[in-house]
Amino acid sequence: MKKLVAILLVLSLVFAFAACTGKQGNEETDPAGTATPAADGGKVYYLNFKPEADQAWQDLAKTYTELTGVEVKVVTAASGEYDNTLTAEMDKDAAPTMFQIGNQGAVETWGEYALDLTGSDFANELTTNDFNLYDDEGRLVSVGYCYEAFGIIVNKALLEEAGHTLDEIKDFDTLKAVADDIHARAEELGFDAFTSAGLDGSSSWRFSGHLINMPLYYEFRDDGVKEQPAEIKGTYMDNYKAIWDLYITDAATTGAALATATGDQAEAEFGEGKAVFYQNGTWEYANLTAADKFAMDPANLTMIPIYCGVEGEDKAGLCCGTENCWAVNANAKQEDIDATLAFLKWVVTSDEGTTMMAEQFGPCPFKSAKTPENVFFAAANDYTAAGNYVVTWAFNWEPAVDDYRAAIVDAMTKYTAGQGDWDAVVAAAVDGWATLYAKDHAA
Amino acid sequence: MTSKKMLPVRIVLYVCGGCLLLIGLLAALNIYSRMPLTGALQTWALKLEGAGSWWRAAVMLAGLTMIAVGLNDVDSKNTGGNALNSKLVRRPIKRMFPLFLLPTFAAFCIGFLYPFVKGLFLSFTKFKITRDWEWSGLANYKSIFSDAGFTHAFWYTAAFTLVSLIVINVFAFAVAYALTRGMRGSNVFRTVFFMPNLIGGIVLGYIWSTIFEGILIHYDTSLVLESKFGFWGLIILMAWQQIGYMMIIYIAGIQAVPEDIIEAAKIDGASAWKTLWHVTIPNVMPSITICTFLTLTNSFKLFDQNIALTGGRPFDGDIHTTEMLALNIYRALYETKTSRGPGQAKAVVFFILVATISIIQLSATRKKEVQQ
Repeated sequence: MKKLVAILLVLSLVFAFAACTGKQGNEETDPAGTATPAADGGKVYYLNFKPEADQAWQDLAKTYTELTGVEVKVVTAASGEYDNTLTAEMDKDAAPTMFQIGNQGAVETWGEYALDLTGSDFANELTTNDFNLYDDEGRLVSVGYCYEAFGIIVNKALLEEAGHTLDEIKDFDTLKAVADDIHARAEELGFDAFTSAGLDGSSSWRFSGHLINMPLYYEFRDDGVKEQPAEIKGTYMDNYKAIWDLYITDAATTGAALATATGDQAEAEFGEGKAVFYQNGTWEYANLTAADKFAMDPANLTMIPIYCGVEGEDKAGLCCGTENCWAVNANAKQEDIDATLAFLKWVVTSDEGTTMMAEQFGPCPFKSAKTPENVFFAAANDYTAAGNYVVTWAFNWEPAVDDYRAAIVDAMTKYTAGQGDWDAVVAAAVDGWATLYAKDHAA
Repeated sequence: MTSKKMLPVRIVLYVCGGCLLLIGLLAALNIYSRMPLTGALQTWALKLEGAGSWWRAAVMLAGLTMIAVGLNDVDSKNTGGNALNSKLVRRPIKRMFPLFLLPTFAAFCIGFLYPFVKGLFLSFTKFKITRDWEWSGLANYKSIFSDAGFTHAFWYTAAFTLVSLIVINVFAFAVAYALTRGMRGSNVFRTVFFMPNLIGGIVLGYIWSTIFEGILIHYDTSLVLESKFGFWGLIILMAWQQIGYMMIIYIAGIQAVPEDIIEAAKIDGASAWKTLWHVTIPNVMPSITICTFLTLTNSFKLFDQNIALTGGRPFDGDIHTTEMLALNIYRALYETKTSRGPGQAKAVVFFILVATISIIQLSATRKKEVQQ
């Protein structure tokens, strides 16, 4: 009840604000001449997915309003609350005109509310369709606006201090040999091989979402799976076990203590030089190098592929993909849709927009995109340039994501604490997939 | 004015009010766009449906107010008391009462009545967002009774409620009894015992999970590894939070027991135990009624502490072993794209359950109350 009253109050506030500000602008001319003229009276409402990019979006929206007079409202959902917030917002009279459809599960849920972006001005700016999402009828419901890469982040300085080099690590066996050696001498060296593989909610997504991408990717590659399958076989679950065992053995924190170890803990261990390897993604670059956080030297950082003992993996690259995709609300008023498409075009073509995108999101698949300085992307590009294959984000097909991952994390927690066997993890991953897929597709 | 003269007016009020209410409600449930209406009627209906929530709310409120005005006339004749019988006081109140009633009434409608009616309606439909539904009859209700997770959550909640009801009330009464014996510093103790109640449920859940994990880690295990830890952890948490609150109610009850009855029992040679059992407890029955009611409904509806402490973990296949009903319903709403209808049906069943159980409990304990 409180929530509803709060929502009502917020609504009335928004309404009042809209009434106050609605009359301004529009007459203003476009001083820079860079912005596309907006359709009359259209408004943009973006429900943003990344809390860390909120300020950048607010600033960009302000700039756009100053240039064109078109009102751009940006609301950011709290971390982990995007789906809940979107559900509530889509119910409103003033629903978001652009929002996020980041994976196949979201396409199933929100695809019918999304405009087909095929051939739109802004979609024509794309350099690749690799990160886009399509529904069953082949409509382009969501455009990937940046891509990310994850793998094992390495502190090269520590690796050398331990008497090893990056060149030694070519596959799972060599990775294990190096990690085992560092772990055995941890006391003498003052640092361990891996950061803690915490299974607290703030960290477990690295494994139930990202690490499990390895067995999923290789299985789908072997079987030629091109769309979300109704069930999986778990062919490579043993490889998943191998790499997981390595994470939870060659680290300072092991056993039941991992059940509550957090993401901040792992990040701090790596940032403070207490571990050589840290599984995470390109988005960690800012935190690791920022002067007010860990202030690591970018020259000491790089990212290597996650090796898990699959044949031919010495030719693997980093895991590249995205969950950052824009969808446009098909049920919005036509003038709002026009205004939103014009805004999107401006974001990916203008100097202000591309600068912000490069700073916040790294490399973006648009013709006018700027190059970011993030070393992890450089590593991703080096692997691709050297002819290694890109490991795509197969985990975007996980059905009923929250429940699917929660079950895997639960089984992994028991296994890690020595209170359950690995079969339960396999069951959660394989049987859980079939059950949740069926539920998701129930009539 | 007599009631007879008012009858036609009242009927008009009821009919008009009812029509307005229905018109607003149909718009709010987005039913007009699915009706086979034609011509001007359709245009108007669609206009109302698309006109925004404020218009619909205003139409519904106007209807409800008219019904309330009609109903009120009957009761106003029975007002007792001399001062209130004065025409000078009665007339303005009688005329202007809707004005005074409006804020609370509006809040009640917006915050409770409307969501309840809409929720009830949606439990018979398939929906992703509430304005976009598809009628599905009883299908949702059928599906929830074959849902093992829901059944488990029900029995788990029942067991939790029973245990916490006993634990909280026994301890609260014992503490209250001890603190009314006139020992030194009892006010300090009362304050200390009451304090946990001032902390919110989510915060409390996280604080206690840290405490429990800190202890369990020494035994190489964790709260999320065994369901018995989750169950007893939640009992400890709830007892810690609620005992102080119930204690205050019991203290008030015990202090209200007339001294002369206690004294009479003492003179008759009753032991302390007998005095407690046969004099004090029957006299604090009203407090027991209210405390059992509060603990029963609180435990049954528990959500914050549940999600913060264990979040339903550990799992056993499909079943989240420490998940209570409210959490199960919450999870159902976001689980898959088809689970919102069944989730809403669960919420309706949940409401009926809580209402029935608390009504039975109230009438059962009321019978035991004694008149002083």
